[in-house]
Amino acid sequence: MTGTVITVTSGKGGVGKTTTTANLCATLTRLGQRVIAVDADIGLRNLDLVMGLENRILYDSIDVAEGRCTLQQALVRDPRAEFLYLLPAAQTRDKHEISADQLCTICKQLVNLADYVLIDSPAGIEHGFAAAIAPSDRVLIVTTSDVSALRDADKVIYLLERDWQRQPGLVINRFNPRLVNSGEMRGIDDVLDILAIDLMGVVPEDERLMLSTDRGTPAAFDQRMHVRRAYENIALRVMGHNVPLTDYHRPGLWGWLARWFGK
Amino acid sequence: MSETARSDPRIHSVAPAGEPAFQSRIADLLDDVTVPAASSAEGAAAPLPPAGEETPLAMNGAAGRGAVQETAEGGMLPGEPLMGAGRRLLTAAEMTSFLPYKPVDPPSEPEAETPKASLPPAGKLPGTEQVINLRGRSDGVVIEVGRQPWPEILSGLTERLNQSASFFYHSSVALDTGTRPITEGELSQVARVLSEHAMTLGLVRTASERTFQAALAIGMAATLEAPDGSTMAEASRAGSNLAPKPGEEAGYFVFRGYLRSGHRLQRTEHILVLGDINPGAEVISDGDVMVWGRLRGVVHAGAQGNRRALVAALDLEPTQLRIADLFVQGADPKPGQPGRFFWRRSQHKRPEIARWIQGQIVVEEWDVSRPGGLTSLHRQAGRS
Repeated sequence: MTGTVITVTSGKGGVGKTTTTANLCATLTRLGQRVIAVDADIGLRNLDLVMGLENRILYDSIDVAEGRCTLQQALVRDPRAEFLYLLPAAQTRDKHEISADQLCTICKQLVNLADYVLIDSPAGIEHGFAAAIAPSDRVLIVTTSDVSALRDADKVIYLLERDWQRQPGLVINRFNPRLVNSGEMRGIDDVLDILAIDLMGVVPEDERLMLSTDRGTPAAFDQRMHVRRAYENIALRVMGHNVPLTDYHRPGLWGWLARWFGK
Repeated sequence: MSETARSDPRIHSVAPAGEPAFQSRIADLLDDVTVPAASSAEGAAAPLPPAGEETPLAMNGAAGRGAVQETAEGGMLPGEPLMGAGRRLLTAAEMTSFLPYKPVDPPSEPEAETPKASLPPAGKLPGTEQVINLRGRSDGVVIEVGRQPWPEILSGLTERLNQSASFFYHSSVALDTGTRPITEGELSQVARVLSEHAMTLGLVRTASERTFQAALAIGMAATLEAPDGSTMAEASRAGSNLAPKPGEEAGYFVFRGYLRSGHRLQRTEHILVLGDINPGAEVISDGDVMVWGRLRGVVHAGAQGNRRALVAALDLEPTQLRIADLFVQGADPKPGQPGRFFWRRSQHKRPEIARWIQGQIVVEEWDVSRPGGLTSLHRQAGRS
């Protein structure tokens, strides 16, 4: 049995590719899947920091590609999970130093080990992006609902359809129901109206998510994080389950109570 | 098979029938030669290695066509059960008989339908084996491009031409790029390499819309082929910006799907988009632009100065709209209102048409209550 390679990409930087990758990996492994995370952002590696595995890294993907170590030696195991490994990127090298073919070769070996291989793509649409897309079976596009992120996501979808014949799924990150309800920000429908691709999930904005990435504990490993549910839904949809979309437009229990008492 | 007569005299003249040595040399230079039956029999003394590759394909083609005919005839059997009272389902053979055009097969149909058995399906280009394939066809030499990185392709091409350029001296070759998308820069690189070897790039054959656009942009002749090998669009005119009479007699180019940010669609024909044009995309036509969907990008109708061109869309909210030499910007956001590119799906939006009227771009809503829907259209028509 071979696994699925999923590339997480966005085009624009800072919309939460790495956070989404780390949390999705953690959630998938909590749901009993064997997961390997691959950091394709060579030269600006972050995935190890967000997953809290930086101090365990001995080798990186370029060492594997150039034959200085075996793949098994380079994989870093996450001690908090059953089966979660990270193939780190090289911090001291450059994006041009790993080719699409090398990454494809690595991923071909990885799918024999795991159910899901998640690739964290670098920002931009240049060489590093192409290398990260090449081995993928599926592509997840992460976007926030602001204009520049949407425009870049749209361009990335165009490139994927034109050059790679991929139909990506969409993750809307940092969704702010309050701003949407007040009519000042685009809602989910407005985003889908522009991008017109399958929605894989919506992650609401949560300040504590920023703290959890800062501390290297993915939200999926933290019982107190409510945003965990959002990642769980995305992971279930990735696994092929049909999960209804959480309706963020309702005020929720507390909002409803507040309104009731306020009257 | 279909390659019974060689229309191109170049290959033929260097390989007269009486000189087997010459033939073997050409066979060495080309990866695949589609030779007429008579000359391949003569060349038996110096066997053409790739000729064997050609036969099974041709055989498949013949067998496949035979099978199709059989099924079609099966439907025409006199014992055909009737549907209902005197009505029955039309069989494929009957349908084709009274259709004025040849019905287009869906792409999933087997390859056997296409008469050009020597043409490999566009999606299955030799990606793994060779960087460059030189093929001799009935219509000249075709250079086929693999899926390798572009620098490899260029160096491979240069290498092959260095070996064999004297044969193709002053000839015009075609470039078959398959489904691979190729940029303007890459195409001009190929043209430069060819011109260094005293050859010209006569035609770009592609199955990728992107490559077709690139070829158009730098004024090359190009054909766009559907996956089943039929030609979808042709641009034989080199230098598309020299349209003789822009827009008026041109046909329609229909684009199905979304035009996303970064997508540029430029045509000499009228453009009909069945889908949305997103902000960041550009649609440029020498004729009209019609959009069955939302128009939010940049649109330019009558790009060669045709002031009778019009832009019509179900939801006309362009970033910028140009007709001939005029342009209007999309509406700026009002202070206090949500910013630009903030689309809420408007419920009562009507289709709109933008026209050039007396030095202004006039946008009119489709109005059911007016006779004909639009008044300016009639005015314009009456004047001209």
